[in-house]
Amino acid sequence: MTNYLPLATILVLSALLGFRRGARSQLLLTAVIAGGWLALGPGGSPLAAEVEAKLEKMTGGSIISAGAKGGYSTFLLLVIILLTYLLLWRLGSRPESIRGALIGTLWGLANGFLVALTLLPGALLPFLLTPITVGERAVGAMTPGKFDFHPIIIGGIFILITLAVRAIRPHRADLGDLFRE
Amino acid sequence: MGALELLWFALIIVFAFVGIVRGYPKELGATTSILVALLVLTEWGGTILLGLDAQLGGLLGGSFLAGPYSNPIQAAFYLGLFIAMVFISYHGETLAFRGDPPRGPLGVAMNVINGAVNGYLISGTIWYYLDRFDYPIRLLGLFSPPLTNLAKALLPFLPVPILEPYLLLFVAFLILVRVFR
Repeated sequence: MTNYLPLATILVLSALLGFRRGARSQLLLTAVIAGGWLALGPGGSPLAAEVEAKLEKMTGGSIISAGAKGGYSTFLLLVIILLTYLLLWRLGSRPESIRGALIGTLWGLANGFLVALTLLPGALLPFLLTPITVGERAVGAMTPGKFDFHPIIIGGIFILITLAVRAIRPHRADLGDLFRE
Repeated sequence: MGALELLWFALIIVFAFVGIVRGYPKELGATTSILVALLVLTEWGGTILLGLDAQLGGLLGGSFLAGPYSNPIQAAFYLGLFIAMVFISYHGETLAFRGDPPRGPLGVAMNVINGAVNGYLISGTIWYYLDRFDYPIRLLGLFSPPLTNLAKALLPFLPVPILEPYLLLFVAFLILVRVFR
């Protein structure tokens, strides 16, 4: 049976952070998760390759399995995400209104889900999304040239829409509006 | 009549101009309605059509889906429903975001992009359903097969095949952004 405690912990912590620090902090967190995953994810990014090469050098060669390398990358990503959580919790600014806090909470839940999907794919239902993980399972399942970019593209579109909506200027009342019921 | 893909590109450009005139806050509202229409058609279109067939078939003395005009009737149902919903989305302002686009080139660019996206969604969906039901507009002399190579290459990039798994996610997200903005 799957243990849902880590997933629940991540979701609750993310929602709390979102409530305390609002949507801006969550936007930063989304960027960190996406950037961290792109830098350390499977597919042979330069940083991941460097980390793995150093790991091999430190341990003296070929005793590390592909799974262990994936685990190391996961650990590094976990550290980066935890550090971001900590910094935002301590140094982030408060949301301007209760609405900002609520948006932050919802966004926090989404971010928590993203973190869980990245770090704990086994805890989530496999049919929800293609697992975007740096762990052993996904490394094994992925073949070069068959990488599914859809979740990243969809995430990017969501961020673009959010930015576009935030860029809308409030409508200024003119004389015509003053006489309107 | 010329190639379908030319008409498709032309309609996207026309809608980009519509986006400039209306502004992307209103266009985003139309995008939401178009996506809702797509969700309704892809999720429940078949069920509604079968229900209609069961009800009307008794009155007309036989199933119209089993008759020789099955394809034109199905195309008329899907396209009629879709075009009606698009018309309503452009006519009303229920889901439109209140406010004005940012000043300068950024605002113009966002208007153009959102207008073009709506054009892609509308004309692409119409093309998809025409293709699915074997181009019934042939009966009216508006199209003569075969498709060009470019048109065949573009078919997998129409909105329905690409967006279908994510429609609910997009609709929920846009409504959430509209409500909590």
